[in-house]
Amino acid sequence: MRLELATYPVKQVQWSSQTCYRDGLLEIDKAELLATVLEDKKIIFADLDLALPGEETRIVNVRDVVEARIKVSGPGCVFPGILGPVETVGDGRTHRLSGMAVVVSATYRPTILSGTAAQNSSLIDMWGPLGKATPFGSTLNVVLVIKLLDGVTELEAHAAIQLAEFKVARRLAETTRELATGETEVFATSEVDPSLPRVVYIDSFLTNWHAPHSLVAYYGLPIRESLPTYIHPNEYLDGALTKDTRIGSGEYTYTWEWMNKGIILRLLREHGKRLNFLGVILQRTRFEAEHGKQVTAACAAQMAKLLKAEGVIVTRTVMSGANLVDVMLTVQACEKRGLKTVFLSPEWGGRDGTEPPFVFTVPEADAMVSTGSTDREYRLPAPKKLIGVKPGELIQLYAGDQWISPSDELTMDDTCLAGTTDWWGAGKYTRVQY
Amino acid sequence: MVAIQLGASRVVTGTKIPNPCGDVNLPPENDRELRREIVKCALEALQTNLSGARTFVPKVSFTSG
Amino acid sequence: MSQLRVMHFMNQFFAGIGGEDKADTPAGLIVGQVGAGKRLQELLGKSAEMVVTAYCGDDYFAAHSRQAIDAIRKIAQDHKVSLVVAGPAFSSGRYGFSCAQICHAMADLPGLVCVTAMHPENPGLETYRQFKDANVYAVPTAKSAAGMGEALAKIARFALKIASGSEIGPSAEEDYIPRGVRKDVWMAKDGAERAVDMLLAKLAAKPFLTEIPGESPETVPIALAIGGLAKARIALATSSGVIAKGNPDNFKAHKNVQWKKYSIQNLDTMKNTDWDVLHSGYNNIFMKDNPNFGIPLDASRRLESEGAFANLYPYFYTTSGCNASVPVMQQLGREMVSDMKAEKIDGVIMVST
Repeated sequence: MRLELATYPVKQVQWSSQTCYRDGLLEIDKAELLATVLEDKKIIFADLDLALPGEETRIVNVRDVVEARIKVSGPGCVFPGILGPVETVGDGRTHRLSGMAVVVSATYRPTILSGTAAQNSSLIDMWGPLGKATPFGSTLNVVLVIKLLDGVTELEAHAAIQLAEFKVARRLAETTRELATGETEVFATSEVDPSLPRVVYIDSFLTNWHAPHSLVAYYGLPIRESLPTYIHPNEYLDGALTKDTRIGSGEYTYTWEWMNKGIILRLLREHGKRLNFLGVILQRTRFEAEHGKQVTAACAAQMAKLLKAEGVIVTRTVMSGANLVDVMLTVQACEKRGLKTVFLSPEWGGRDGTEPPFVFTVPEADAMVSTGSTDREYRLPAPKKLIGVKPGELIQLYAGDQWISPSDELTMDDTCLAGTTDWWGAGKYTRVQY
Repeated sequence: MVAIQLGASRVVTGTKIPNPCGDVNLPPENDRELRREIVKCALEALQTNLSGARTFVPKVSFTSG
Repeated sequence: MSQLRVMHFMNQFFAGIGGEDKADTPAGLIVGQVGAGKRLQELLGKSAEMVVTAYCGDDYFAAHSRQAIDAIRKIAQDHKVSLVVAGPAFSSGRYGFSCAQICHAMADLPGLVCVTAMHPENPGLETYRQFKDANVYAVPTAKSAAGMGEALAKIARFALKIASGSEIGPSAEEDYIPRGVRKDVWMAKDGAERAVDMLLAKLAAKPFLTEIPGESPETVPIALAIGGLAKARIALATSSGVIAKGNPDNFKAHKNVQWKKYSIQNLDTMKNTDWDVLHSGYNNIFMKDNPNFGIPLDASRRLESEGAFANLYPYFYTTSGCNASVPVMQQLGREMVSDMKAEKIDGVIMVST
């Protein structure tokens, strides 16, 4: 597997009568894009707006953020199984637009009103304390605002929102198809010096097997209650891992993050240098009884052993206490099989850092890297511009929660804000004992 | 497992997270019987003196893992 | 450097009053420095003046903590000190306890910082770790007074840093015993790189420092079993988020700060009665259809009518425990128990998801 990823930086975005990219300027024909989005009759309203870093702009009803990428050669397409047929990706050449992102802000009438299968959303501020804390505060954001027809099912809502944002992202990336000048990085896991330590990455993530979309999909197929699965890291770069786009809360994940996964990029870049990256084991959690948790832990450890790994890095999503058990048991199983294991994760800890970092640990988890707390509090000043809601309209971040006015000053924690929870090590926060 | 780590001393194993006292895969009568066994097990735990934390397992077979 | 006014607290032995025979000495003061305090003043030089030494007998403190603390607090306030040094207590458990208690009792005085010193295994540190006061620091010492020189040097270094107005950094850097307060810090390397660095060190059997300590669980005393269950009053409780229809009490889907009790009088099942379920940490669909899964009312009524226990409390206790703050839930637990005791409940079956 060998992927050339060519980067085309976007320094400026402008509405125009054509959609094209040249020398860092991305021109967008709004009407063209909106017409494509509105082809889906489940979308009854669509608009595009821009949110630039430093502006006092707040985007609400955020469901997802995606990076614009297009495959110019090699099998498959970006977002295989969704924008094209199921074909294994991660080979050939893919172009990306950097410095910008497509944000989708969507509203619809939900039919599931509580629990883990219910929809939720978050905010992005382009300035102030949140602007600094989320990667999406530094990208030039093309915001797609849509409203869906009443009566859509939850799965239809997910599919409509995802297709709309992916179509926009694809169209924008398409502007670079003929270009050959992008700075290119090659990702390949060819044979290396056999004395380098052999490392496997266990990507553990929560899925809700009974929800309309289970939260994480592989080639568009929601992963439900399966056992560990072995894949190639390049697959992430071409969008093989995607998510439930109805779920936009800050404690979950964004497609952009799956495509730009800190630990994946780091391991790929270290391959052949400090280590031999053997690949990725996808592990869904959380099994809802102890038996299942023990089986997935043993299976993941066994898979790593069969790959002849020596060391393992484990990460996980989301902030569930129950899923921590599956993951800690996995760390324990790996260590007991002789695999040196590091667990990389954010921690709880409460507003003032006096609460326990984890509600469950195992003695074998003696090497942990913290990406900071998920209980950080932010005081967000009132914005000058709001995207995603009509003036005076209220927003509700979680089903069943109170409705709030987004034009106000707000006090919230990480879970409500897009991109502030660092699941995969792309950020530089840690937590330290005082 | 979390309960014991956080200090609970009498823990009764339930079916599954979304339905700890019962089983959606069983017909209603069997589900009620299962629930009765779980509560009975809890009552037994309340009557048991302990020197350390213990998990009590009801005398049932759960249909799913 | 502003000159720091310092109060030194010691027990009866180190204050020169007497040994075990004087352990019941009440709290008192000596102007200026005494014993080891004199050496500490030398180390502090001109940047701090140890204006008063407070003392208290180890046994007196244990038996009359409130009076002792009040007296010593008054001494600190009367002498307008901004730094309190307590100890060093080395391995002495009673002395370590008094030091930690005194520091905690003064932690709320504005502008005051407390530095205590004792061996890392001194049980007095339980108080220190329990309260996590941001302005109380414990520096590690040897087990016995043979380590006095080094202990005083560490205390002096700390005091001088405080006198200079510098911020005290993380415990690993500044060599003090962590309170267990964790703060977010921005690093030079991202988490992914630090994870790879740590793994490579672990694989090469090189030393590494974990960024997250494994916590030792809190020991909760085990309640005695109920003898004679047939005469007992049992209550049902849950954290699964089963609540009154329409959520009249404004529970949140997660991070709740309240509990409520709702009536189940004359009900013998939770099914087909109107309840709502609000908990964003699991799929609520099954619970909503049959809340007996979270409040096993039907089964409990059957066992009640069979005489397994005397009566089922006519309310169930509930909250939604998703993503909750641990101390908040501990507080809710204490409040629920208070209520349960007042209602003469003997045993509780608590169902959690």
